Amino acid sequence: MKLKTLSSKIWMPTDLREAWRLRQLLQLESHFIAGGTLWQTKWEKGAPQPSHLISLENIKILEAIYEKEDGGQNFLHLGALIRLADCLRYPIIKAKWPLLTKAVKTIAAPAVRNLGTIGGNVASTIGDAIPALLVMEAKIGCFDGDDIKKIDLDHWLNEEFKDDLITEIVVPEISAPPSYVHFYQKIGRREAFSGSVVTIAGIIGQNDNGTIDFARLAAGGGENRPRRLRITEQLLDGRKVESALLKKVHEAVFSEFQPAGDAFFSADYRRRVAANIVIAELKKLEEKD
Amino acid sequence: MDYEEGKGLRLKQVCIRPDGVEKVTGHLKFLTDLSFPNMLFAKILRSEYPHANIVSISTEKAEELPGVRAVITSKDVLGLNGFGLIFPDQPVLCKDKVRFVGDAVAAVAAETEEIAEAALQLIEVEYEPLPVVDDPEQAMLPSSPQLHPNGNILHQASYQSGNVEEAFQSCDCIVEETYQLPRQMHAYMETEGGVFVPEKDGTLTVYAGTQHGYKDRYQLARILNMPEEDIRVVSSPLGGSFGGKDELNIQPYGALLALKTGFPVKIHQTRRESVRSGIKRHPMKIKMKTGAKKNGKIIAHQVRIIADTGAYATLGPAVLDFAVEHATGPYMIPNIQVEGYSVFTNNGVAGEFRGFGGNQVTFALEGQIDRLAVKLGMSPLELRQKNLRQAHDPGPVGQKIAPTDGAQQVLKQISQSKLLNSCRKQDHNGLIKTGVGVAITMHGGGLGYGRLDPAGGRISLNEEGKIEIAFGFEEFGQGLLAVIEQIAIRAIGCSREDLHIVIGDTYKVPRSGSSTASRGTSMVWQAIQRMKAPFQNSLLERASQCTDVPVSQLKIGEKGVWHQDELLISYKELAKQTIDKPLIIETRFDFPATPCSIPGGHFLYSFAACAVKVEVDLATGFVRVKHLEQAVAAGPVIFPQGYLGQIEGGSVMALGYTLTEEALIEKGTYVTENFDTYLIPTIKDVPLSIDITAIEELCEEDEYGPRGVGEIGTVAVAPAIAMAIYDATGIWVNKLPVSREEIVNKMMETEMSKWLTSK
Amino acid sequence: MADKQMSSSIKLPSEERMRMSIFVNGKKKELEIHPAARLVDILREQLHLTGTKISCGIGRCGACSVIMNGRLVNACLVRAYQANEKEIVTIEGLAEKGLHPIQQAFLEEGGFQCGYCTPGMIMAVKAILDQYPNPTSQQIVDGLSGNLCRCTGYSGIIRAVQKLAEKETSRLDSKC
Ligand SMILES: Cc1cc2nc3c(=O)[nH]c(=O)nc-3n(C[C@H](O)[C@H](O)[C@H](O)COP(=O)(O)OP(=O)(O)OC[C@H]3O[C@@H](n4cnc5c(N)ncnc54)[C@H](O)[C@@H]3O)c2cc1C
Ligand code: FES
Ligand code: FES
Repeated sequence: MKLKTLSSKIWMPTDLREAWRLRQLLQLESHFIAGGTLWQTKWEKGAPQPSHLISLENIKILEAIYEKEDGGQNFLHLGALIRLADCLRYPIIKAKWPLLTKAVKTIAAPAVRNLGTIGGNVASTIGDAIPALLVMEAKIGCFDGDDIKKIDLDHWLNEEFKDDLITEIVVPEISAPPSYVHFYQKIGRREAFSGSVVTIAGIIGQNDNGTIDFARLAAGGGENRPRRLRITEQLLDGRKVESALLKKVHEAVFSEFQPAGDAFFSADYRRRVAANIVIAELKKLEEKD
Repeated sequence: MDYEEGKGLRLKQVCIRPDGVEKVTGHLKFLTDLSFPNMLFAKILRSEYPHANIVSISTEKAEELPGVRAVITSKDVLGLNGFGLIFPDQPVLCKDKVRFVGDAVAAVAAETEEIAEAALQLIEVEYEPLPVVDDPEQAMLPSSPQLHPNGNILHQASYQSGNVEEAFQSCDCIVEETYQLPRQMHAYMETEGGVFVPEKDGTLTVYAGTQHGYKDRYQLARILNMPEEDIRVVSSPLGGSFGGKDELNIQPYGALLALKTGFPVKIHQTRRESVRSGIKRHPMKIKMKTGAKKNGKIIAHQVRIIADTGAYATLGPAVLDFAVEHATGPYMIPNIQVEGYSVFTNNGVAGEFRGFGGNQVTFALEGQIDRLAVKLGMSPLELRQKNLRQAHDPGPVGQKIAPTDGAQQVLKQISQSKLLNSCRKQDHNGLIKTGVGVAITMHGGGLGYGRLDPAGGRISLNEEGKIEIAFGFEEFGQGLLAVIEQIAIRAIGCSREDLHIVIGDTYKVPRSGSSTASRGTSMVWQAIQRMKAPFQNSLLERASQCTDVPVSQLKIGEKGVWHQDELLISYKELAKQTIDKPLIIETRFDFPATPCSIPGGHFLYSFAACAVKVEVDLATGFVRVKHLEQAVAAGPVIFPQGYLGQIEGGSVMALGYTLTEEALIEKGTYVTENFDTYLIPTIKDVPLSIDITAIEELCEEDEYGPRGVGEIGTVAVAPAIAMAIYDATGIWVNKLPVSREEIVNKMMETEMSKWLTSK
Repeated sequence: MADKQMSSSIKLPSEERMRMSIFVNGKKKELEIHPAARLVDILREQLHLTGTKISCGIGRCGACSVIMNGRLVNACLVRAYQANEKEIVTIEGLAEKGLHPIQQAFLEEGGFQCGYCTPGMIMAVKAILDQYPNPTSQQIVDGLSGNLCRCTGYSGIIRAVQKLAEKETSRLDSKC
């Protein structure tokens, strides 16, 4: 554990190709680094420091942020280097992607959010923004040396090996009727500024006669890689909120969500809490009815 | 005083702390901020194992690393290889055995911190791991590996009166419960550190924070084999301590390395190093059996305390004595049996911590009272009232104490709290439950009977014409300087500009004892009361001699001595004219202890009552403290801002103790190694309103003045929160920090069917 | 031979140096430094600005908070290469002409005790007030949620910031 100075050499490429080339050249001896906030925590816990760090902070293109229509749907393009704090600063994000705002607000604290990037949060595979991005069915841009490829975040998370250079996060706008519930909850070990025990997000909608016609849920927390709760989603689809369903949904979340426990909270606790939160949200939906 | 009736303590009058400007501007140099020319940096190698024999230590490679100036091991300890406030059983540098992961094995001084760190990795230590003793109850068994020559029981204490067994026979209602209290970390924001400077004349100056400079000097002299007079300890200011820096920490290593290299040596531990090596609050397992008559009169109380004191003694015995003494608190119970054991394990080291064993037993005791009240169908306040001590009753272990009505006062005050009758909000889902709880406590000040507890101070007119007040106490945030200033101004009659306050430097201050056990304010007040008349008289006489105005016409005031509304002679002039025979008044006395021969028995007590309102989220088990009130009876308020700050800060520290804090150890190794896993409250975790009421009135015959309030605010909070959780959910908490998991599981059993029903 | 291997497997602090310049409290500083040196160490050890404190070293306490290019950051998380060419304001840069109103409010309301968290806390308050001159209590607690204080229980800090906000309100009111 040596934090004061690192033994790594720091590279500061100014474009994607250069960054990619360095990574190919240095391979396992190297890592990408953006804000560096997560790395710092890992090093302090004894993670080995690589010989080379490839900083992405000078690649201007990664700071782009814009809205764009594509195939009739509106998308938010967030450059990977956008600081978490900036995700909270743009009024447009708050207005059209409220779930993202809600999620980012729960990450760390203002000073850390001024350094940490959204790209780093996603690339870490355990970031608290991920459950929100999953239920919005976000895609990520990955640079492969020539091109930027769009990959479903969900799909990317389920892949084994991750060595991509993430360029942007692309988030569709979900223009949901007011009868939908959107939720994002991070249950930490204290009220604020703590790692997550359970992070859960969802969008659930029902049509005029109270039948659920839209259900997306995702859960993670702690060292657990967030994932969609597809079995539960299917269970909800086409059903009405009623006691029998609540019971089934509770069971479904409990069995589908399989996080690991740690010294502070058991796996069971996490599963129960996730299930309880989903039920609480379903009840809200019932009230909207 | 400065609080408005019915609104709690409020800061009506602004009084700026003497050390305030330096603190808010960042100009104040903490001792870990110091640097000296040619300074070296040191790092300490701690044990890899919680329990092991050391087979060999080889330092050659580390010594060869360029930039390394010295490597020390047990061979290099010049004097006694041990330290400890009560007895020195903790090796400075371990020779053949390590007993916890914070045990020091070697230390390095190098030109940079990075080199020192790299050198640690080059020190080769061969260990032979031994079985880890991590459970105090197991440790008490004869079959357990023995950690010290006299076995694993460090200390045993007991108190008995009447006959509990018989009394239980005639009880109508008995409550029996086991309570478990966690290992809390002080989490002072400034980690241990300082600079050690070998002086040209062969003496050593130690700049390192502690709660008792003279005691460090005494301990260091033993270790360095040096006369005490040759060591100067500069020990203030500190960035927090809370009891955690009373014992030696990094001082021996810095001192040994400075002497070995002949250069100034700096050590500043990282948080991780601090967690690993620093002392913690004693985890305790407390079993209580308490019985009452139908009418609510408690007649029998049986207590068994097992404290996990970790690898070494430090103040373990005294903490246990305190817990035993306070096991019955402010209640008059005819039949009592208390026994306590402080047991060695390989789990870190437990020692002094704000509250000193009182927090643990009070949690258990107040838990018993609440459970009894529920069982008897009586209001918890009424049950307390029925059994509460009166002004002239003896102390909790039957000893003579200074008469005090504090228990009645705080209970009465808290009974009037609006909080207790406030409405119970229920959210529409019925999953957020609200509850209220109250607890009270009494807390002894000073070290108690049979412990050397000398105090003292000095007032002089110094050469610059300042009234110099010197105490051997330390400033770690509590506002000691403001307390001295306020008491001195009122007692002497001068202004704050006339004063020069000196603390925290063994070359400059008299012996005052430790800044611990809520004794600081009390001692300063008593010392100044003693010195005030001789000082004033002598000052006036001198003024009279210099001016030929009779003493009877002179008055001490701002800037100097006055005669008929005119400044007659300034302090500066007076100092100049009397430079040949300087005016110095000193006092020495002992902190009052009970005359009864009970080890650690106290004489002066303060009292507190706490009321809280909590919200419990049954879906997650999350507990939020929404409001908190405390009523404190500790004599006159000297420095309102400091008083308020101690109780507010203490309340929040206790809130952390109750809800999130635990220095978790698994098999002798810390799981929580930094502030990412050891969670103290953030600003979002605290109630936005904390209301404090100070009850200043003392018994008529009480001549001891203000009591310290450094600890009292931390004691009653946890049991009040536990009661509020019961009130909200029907779940009795018997283990801290409160288990959210348990709340959720219980709720699954009881509320689940309702919960899973749609409307 | 074995020894050699052993010591070569230990990475010594690299000798690599970079030239960097930072503007600290308005003054330009040129330094030769390891590019991965921490800003907190540069401030405390190279520039002797010890008002910025260090407590956790991992961004978890806020004792090292400074303002970099107008934004609050943890100086323990910022590396030299990231601070290059940036403007830094530390606690020492706040009170150049008398006390800053935040400092005055902390003094009057007991916003500190031991004073160790105080420089970072005050910088965090500054960052809040720079963004919201008249912050709500929610904005205050959000803004200070990354700054731990073990002594005060935050009550005095909240009082101090509320006092500042009230002053700001009455200043605005008297303007209209
Ligand atoms: C005190 C503190 C509190 C924190 N609290 C939270 C919290 O509550 N919730 C939470 O989710 N996180 C938290 N974090 C973790 C971290 O701050 C965030 O996840 C942040 O978003 C990471 O961004 P970064 O730019 O700093 O990442 P870095 O540390 O630079 O990198 C993180 C990882 O992502 C990789 N990476 C970064 N950018 C890219 C890219 N463009 N393409 C490919 N790989 C990349 C890196 O190689 C590394 O593996 C906290 C960290 C700290 C220090
Ligand atoms: S020292 Fe930087 S946040 Fe704690
Ligand atoms: S004043 Fe001591 S930590 Fe805040």
